[in-house]
Amino acid sequence: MNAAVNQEPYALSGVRILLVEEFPFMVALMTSMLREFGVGQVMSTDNVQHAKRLLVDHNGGHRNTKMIDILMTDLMGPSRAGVELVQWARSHKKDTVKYLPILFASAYTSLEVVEGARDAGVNEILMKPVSAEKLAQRLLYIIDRPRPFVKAPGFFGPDRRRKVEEFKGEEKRIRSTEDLTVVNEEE
Amino acid sequence: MTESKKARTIKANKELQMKVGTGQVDERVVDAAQKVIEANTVDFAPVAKPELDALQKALDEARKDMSDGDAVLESLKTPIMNLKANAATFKYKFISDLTGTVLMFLENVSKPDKKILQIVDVLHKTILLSLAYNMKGDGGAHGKVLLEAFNKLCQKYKPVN
Repeated sequence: MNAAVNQEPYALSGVRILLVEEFPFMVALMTSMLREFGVGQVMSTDNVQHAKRLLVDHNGGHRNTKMIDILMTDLMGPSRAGVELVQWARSHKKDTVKYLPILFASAYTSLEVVEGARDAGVNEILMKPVSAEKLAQRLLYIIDRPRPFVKAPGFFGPDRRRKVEEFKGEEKRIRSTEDLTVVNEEE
Repeated sequence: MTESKKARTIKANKELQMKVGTGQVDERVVDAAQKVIEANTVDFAPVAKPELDALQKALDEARKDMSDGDAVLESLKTPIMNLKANAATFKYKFISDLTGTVLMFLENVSKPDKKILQIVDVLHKTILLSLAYNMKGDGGAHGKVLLEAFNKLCQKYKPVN
């Protein structure tokens, strides 16, 4: 689980996580696990509308010390309200909501659900049942490997490509800076 | 290519990394967090009951009417998904494995039929018995046999014409 050798542990005490989960016992367990990792504050709700209000309250104003750093949301049942929450966040006008790292948890492993979550703009997907190792691993991915965001027709979210491999064949992709505009976080 | 069709990349936000620093998560911390799961004393049976009831209801309704195939499959998958997500957390890894097998099978089914309902019905009964007999962990030798049987059952499935 070591992300690097001979280094101090992460300072997670200043991190605030919003957990959106429908089962109270799962909230209790996840909260306990996150606290074991040293996470400073875990807020939770079983309601997507409430989650939106919390995100606006904490992240909707100027940058401050009360901001939520990571959103962890479940699929939230057959309505898949968790995906809708991700879409809402990614289309938000405030950068502090729009670019929020999102960890998506689901027991569904179907391609449809995984691709749906990815296309909605999640950073990482955590498959249930959850183990401490899986949870720690996904958190580390979010912290250690912040991904650039991509804004393209029909998509806004973290770059979905995990690695860039050399393409063998006729080059048709956009490569020049004329076609690919790099902008700063604050537009 | 017009401006609106251009893909743009936006530099990765490293604020969280700067706030947290780089380093490691101590394996002892991960072990301690895992022990939180293992030490929980919540009885899974009452947690599972509403999901098993929902599964029974979905089966009953599907037997009467399977005209809306997508709705039938969704009503079967949702409680199975919830059981899969939660059982291992309450020491019933066997139930998580079993429901995971059937869920993966259902995710590749496009239209429900009688054979599918039979498989889900057997799953429902197996979970009830597993809880009644307190088959915690991987379910031991019986668990292994049952899991293999479900794997074979799902692999043998052929859609009813």
